[in-house]
Amino acid sequence: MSSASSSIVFNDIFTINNIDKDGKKFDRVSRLYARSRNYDMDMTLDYNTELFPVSKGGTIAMALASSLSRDSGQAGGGAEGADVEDKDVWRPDGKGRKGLEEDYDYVMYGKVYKFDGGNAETVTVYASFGGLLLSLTGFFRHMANIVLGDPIFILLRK
Amino acid sequence: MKESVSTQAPKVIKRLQFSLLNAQDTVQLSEFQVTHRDLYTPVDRLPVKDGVLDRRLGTSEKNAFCETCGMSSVDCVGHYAYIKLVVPVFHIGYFKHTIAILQAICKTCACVLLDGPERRAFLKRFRRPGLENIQRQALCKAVNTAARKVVYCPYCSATNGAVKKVGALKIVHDKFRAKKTADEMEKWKRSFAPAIDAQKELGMYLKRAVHEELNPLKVLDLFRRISDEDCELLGLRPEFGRPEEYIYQYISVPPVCIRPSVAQDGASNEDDLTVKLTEIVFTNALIKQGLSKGAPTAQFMEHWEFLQLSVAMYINSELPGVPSQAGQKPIRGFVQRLKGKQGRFRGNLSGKRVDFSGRTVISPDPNLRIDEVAVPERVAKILTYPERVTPHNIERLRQAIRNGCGVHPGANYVTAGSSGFKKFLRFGNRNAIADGLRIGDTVERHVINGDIVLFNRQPSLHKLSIMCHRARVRPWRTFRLNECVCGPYNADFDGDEMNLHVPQTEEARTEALELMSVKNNLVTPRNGEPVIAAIQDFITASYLLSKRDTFFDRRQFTQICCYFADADLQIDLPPPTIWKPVRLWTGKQIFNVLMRPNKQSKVLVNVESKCNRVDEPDPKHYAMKPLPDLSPNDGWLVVVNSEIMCGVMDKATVGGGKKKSIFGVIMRDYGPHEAAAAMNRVAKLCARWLANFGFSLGINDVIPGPILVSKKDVMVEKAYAECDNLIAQAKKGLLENKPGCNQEQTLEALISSVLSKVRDEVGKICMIELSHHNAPLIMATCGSKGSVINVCQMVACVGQQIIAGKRVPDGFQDRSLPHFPKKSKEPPSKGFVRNSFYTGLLPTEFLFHAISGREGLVDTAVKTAETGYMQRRLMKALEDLTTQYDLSVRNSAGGIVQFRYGDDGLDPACLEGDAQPVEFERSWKHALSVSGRGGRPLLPFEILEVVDRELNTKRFTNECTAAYIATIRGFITDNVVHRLAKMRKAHGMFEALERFEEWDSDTDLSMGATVAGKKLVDNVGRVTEAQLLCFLHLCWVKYVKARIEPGSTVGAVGAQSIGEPGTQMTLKTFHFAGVASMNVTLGVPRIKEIINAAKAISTPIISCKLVTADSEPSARIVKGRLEKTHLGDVAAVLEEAWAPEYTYIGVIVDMDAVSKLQLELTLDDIKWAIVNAKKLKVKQDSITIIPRRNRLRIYVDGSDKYYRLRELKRLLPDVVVKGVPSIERAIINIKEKDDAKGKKGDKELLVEGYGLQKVMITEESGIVGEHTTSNHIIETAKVLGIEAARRTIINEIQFTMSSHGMSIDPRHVMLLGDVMTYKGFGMWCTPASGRYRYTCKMNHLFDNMKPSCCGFSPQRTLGRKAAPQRM
Repeated sequence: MSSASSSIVFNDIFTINNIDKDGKKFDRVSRLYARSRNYDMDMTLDYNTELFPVSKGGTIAMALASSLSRDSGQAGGGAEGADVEDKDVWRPDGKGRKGLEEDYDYVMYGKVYKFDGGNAETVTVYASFGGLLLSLTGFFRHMANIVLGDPIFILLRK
Repeated sequence: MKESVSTQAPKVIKRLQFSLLNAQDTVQLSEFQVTHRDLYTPVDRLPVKDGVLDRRLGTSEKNAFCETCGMSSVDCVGHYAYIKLVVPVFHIGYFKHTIAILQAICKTCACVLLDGPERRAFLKRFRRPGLENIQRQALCKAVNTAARKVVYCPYCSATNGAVKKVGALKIVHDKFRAKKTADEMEKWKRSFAPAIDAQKELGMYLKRAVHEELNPLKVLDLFRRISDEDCELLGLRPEFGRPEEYIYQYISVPPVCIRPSVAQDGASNEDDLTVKLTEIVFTNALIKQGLSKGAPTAQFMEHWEFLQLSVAMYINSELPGVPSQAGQKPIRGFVQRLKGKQGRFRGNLSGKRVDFSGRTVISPDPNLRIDEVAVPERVAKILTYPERVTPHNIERLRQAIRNGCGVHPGANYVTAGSSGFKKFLRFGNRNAIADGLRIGDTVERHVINGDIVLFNRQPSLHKLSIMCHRARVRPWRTFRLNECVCGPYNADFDGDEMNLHVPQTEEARTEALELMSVKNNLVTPRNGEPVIAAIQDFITASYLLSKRDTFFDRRQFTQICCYFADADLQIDLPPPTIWKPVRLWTGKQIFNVLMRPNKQSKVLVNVESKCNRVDEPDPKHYAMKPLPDLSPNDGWLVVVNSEIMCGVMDKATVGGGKKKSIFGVIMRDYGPHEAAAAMNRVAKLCARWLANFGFSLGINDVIPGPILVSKKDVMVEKAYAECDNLIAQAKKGLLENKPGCNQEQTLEALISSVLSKVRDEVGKICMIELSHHNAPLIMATCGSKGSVINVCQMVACVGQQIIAGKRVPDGFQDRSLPHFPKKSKEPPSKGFVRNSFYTGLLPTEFLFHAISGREGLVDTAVKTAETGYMQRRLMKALEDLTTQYDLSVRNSAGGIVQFRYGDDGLDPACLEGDAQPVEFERSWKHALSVSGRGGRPLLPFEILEVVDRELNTKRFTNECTAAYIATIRGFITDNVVHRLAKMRKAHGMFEALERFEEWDSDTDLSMGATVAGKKLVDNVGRVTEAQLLCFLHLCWVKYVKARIEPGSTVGAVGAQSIGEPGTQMTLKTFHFAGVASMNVTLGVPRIKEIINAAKAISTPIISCKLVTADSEPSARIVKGRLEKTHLGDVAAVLEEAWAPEYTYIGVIVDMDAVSKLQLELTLDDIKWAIVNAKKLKVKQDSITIIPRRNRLRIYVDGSDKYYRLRELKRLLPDVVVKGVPSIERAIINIKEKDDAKGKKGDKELLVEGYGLQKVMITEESGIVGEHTTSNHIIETAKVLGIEAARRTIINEIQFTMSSHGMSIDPRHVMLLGDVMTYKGFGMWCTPASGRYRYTCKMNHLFDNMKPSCCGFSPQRTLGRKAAPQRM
């Protein structure tokens, strides 16, 4: 688990159980079903198969981060200025803090939009990356740092 | 220029009163008497003096002058003359009334045949103030029926018989018709004895003379003698008309200008009326001559009859009973001039031709805004708008004048403000006119960009068929409109033409803009669903763009973003979705930008809804029960703050007909302007992108793959085998009959279900096997055009052809075509087409398909005519209902129809939810997302406090109903507060539903829950005060917006809302839920039955709740009690017994069968059933019962014993001994779902037939009377009262509409129900009730009624705008 001061809100290694269980519906996008090694979490993720080809049985390292800066996302001084810069980080000439993506192969940016369940210990977090969905199911304590409605990065490495 | 809006209020017609034109008036308003039959003088061809074309009547010739007033044909209004008839004749229009009066009076003393008390009672009722026409008519009828029964006049004791019409224009009095007057007749006949003795031939005429002929002379004499008081009893008011005026003595000759002669090279062509008039004059002269010379009676009578007929034809040429000469064109009498669609009323007074309008072909243009219409330049140069010159526009108008008529932004006329002198700008010195233009002048300038025009396409079935657009002047020759607006007009571009009107005053423009503009009519008032939305290619393009696997690099993405604007919009590029390895944006992000192009835009869309096709995610594949968001085909739309989280853009999300579509949501939350802007962007984006991307359909798209072919063949073969099996079973009679069906029907039902299943399954395979780049498949999935069935028909299998709801019937002997064996029931011989359109149809299949196709065409043709008439009648019944300032609905006479419109005073067009003003679930999510998550989270009790505080403020208590406030509170308590509390409890925190005294800000209410737990609760259940207030504000605003405005034309809108969907219904019957054999009529025929309140409906069904709903045997018992049992069913033997002293028919009742059928039937019951059967005429004491041997004996006596016995024996088996005779049959039905009358799986009894009352009161028979309903309106009204009838009308219309998949807001249907019932008796929307409203019907002119003139149609007829508001 990431430290509180890091911008990483979740981090684990997943084993891919299956791909496109419901049938392949799209040419360039598949849905992978994976289970985490450390925290007993289940994940489904839509990903671009051309950019990040994975196969059944493979393992991937996955991280969810609130920003791409290597250190804390929130704690940085002058939050206002940082936010404005963070918005344009993606631009080729963009300023702002980044660096985290250097460790990963495939990075997407999106938003946490739903929490399902709340009365039991198992909850599911839904995040959408421009329509590519992530669902992360597991014990709620492991997802304490994920905040509903916040922008989020998903970083993957084979 | 003509002043369009008058500053001086003209005189107002308050009341109309028809009366009869009597002889004095006729002569008084005439100039002279017409005596001459010739039209023109033979020499100089001038109108003959004292002829029917006399110059004193006015003239229709251009160069002649009227001899009465001296004016030309243009200015002379015409003058009247009269013809004095030598003998009176009947007036054909009043002929019925003449007979009715004759029936009611004594033919000797001319008194009304009512005795004192009865007479007084009727008089009192006639003199009641404010008597309505219907009641008056009913009273007249009552008097008539009462008086007809009287044989001896109570005043002069003379005998009176029946008065009848014989032939076309003859009335006879059958004096001795009553049986008791037989002796009198004998006496009367005997009085002729001496005469017959003298002249033997007279005897044969005596019989004919019994019928006394009432000729006009006699009738006139009788009518003259009727007293004024008696007139009232006859429904006449003597001050306006007395009965003798019903008979023609003087005929008024109308002015020449209404019957102009058409001069044609020397000869002239005369109007039908003129011809008829000369004929009358001629015959009249003949009779006069005959009378003076003493011509034989026969000749006189012949002439008289001819005169009679001529006068009748003059008024109404469509006489029943008068043979019209074949080959001759029927003449146009007065009635024909007024009646019908082309008649004076409907053709000229209610409907007029207009100026400033245009019509041409339409074509599409996605680059136009949705509220624009492209007007061709050549049209724009003809249509003008009179613009008043002001200091602000004088330069522009000067330029327009200089341009003149021929150059576009020009002008056609200039009117000087000072003199009112109008100059045409084609000629003359335009520059000089332009320079001399002064403020206050009016320039009729060409239509320019931004002008307000009305755009219309026929048939104008609802108010959205004519909408207000902004003109945009473009080259070429067609009107062009954005495709999104095709929906409400029901327009396509296969050659459709549309009309354009230019309002001519500033007032009219403003009114059009406010009430009729496209932007204000995005939703249909039928149910508040959007009708203006993306269609066809727009949907396809949106779908393709928003699919999950569309990715764009920066160049592509920015290019596409530029498509949807005209380079006049700031677009903020969002961060890409994929950052590494390359930066890529997804197609959904395009729509994010489209909804909210930049940060300044306030449009934050929040919606969650189903897409057109949803594949549910399989729960087995996921660790936790997955939300629908995870749908594998991306079939669930979630939008948060204008960002699409998941889901595609298809029919359900960008198309019309769904309240939760993107445009629907934007419209409700941010107003129609934002919605229209978004729609404009979609139109441009889709048209431009799809043109680049390409979307076409070729033969490749309909070639099935090898797997598909083999799978289909296997399935079809299997279905054939199954059918063969069923047929074989049916032959042996082994099929278990479906309830209410015989073996054959059961077989048909089973085969049909097998065959329809096979096509559906093949369709499913198509969807799986075809590539997802297949064009028809894409269109079917996103809903832009076509369905799965259409794809399947092209690719795999066309399927069963249905004709008249059944498989193809036999056209030859015992078979459909000679290609098949006789009596064959196999699928191919009954119209199953196993080929696809791609493989090609066999000759037989082709024929079957053609039959089915033809049926569809015929159906549509019939349907349009029928629904058009239905719509017209609905409109006539509801047209004048409006809401008043107290939100009550009243008609133009001020009669209250509803105390509060729709019981809650809300406008169906403004309702966001399903007949509710607010969709709470979505609004709550919207409020949560829009207000952001900043601020302190509230505890459950705090939420309740805030809600209570807000809901008790003035703005809520004053504006909203208590019921509405309660629903808001209920929603928050259930869905927010209790959810949060439950969650807190689950994570070990205090529920905090109530505030306790000892708490303060430091009290830890989390009871030491973990940090993670707190964070989770915060994530899921966080509610801040800002969010809560935002939600409550939304609820308030939406409610206030949804209230109906006083003065809304709720009647017209309601009529359209019910009539318009009728055009989309097919004229087919449907199967009744669950029971194959019990069809109920649906569709247009059923709606017609309902609004006509037909006495005999095609499928009367009474549905009964059973006392013991769960037991089949008891249901059977009840069924037995209700269904009729004939004596023949339970009698074992019917025998004749002959003996010297007695004869009887012996009936042996099979009591064993009776008990097996569980009929509680005793011999006594049977006896009484026989006695009560009227036809049999069996006396009670002629039946004896022998109980021990289950026998009945019916003794027959009298002279014609034998025949009587035979007759009895023939009739006895049909005597109903048990059950309700009016019931055809009863069927036990098992409920398919829960409703007010019971749970799913309960048995209920469906009774086909009439007799609601009898079914209800057989309480001991096991039926719950208070839960028994009938679909027969008249019967319900009779048995349960008018309120129940209203309820039935509403339920039946809603049921019919919903079974055709059409939703109508309950308020419209309620209004119709109320209109039909609010007077306490049925006011059905039949053609007759239209007549009563003084629309365009002739008859009531003759009916001597007091017409109301304040309704909408009457007002139009009188040339006024609309009914005056009564406040």
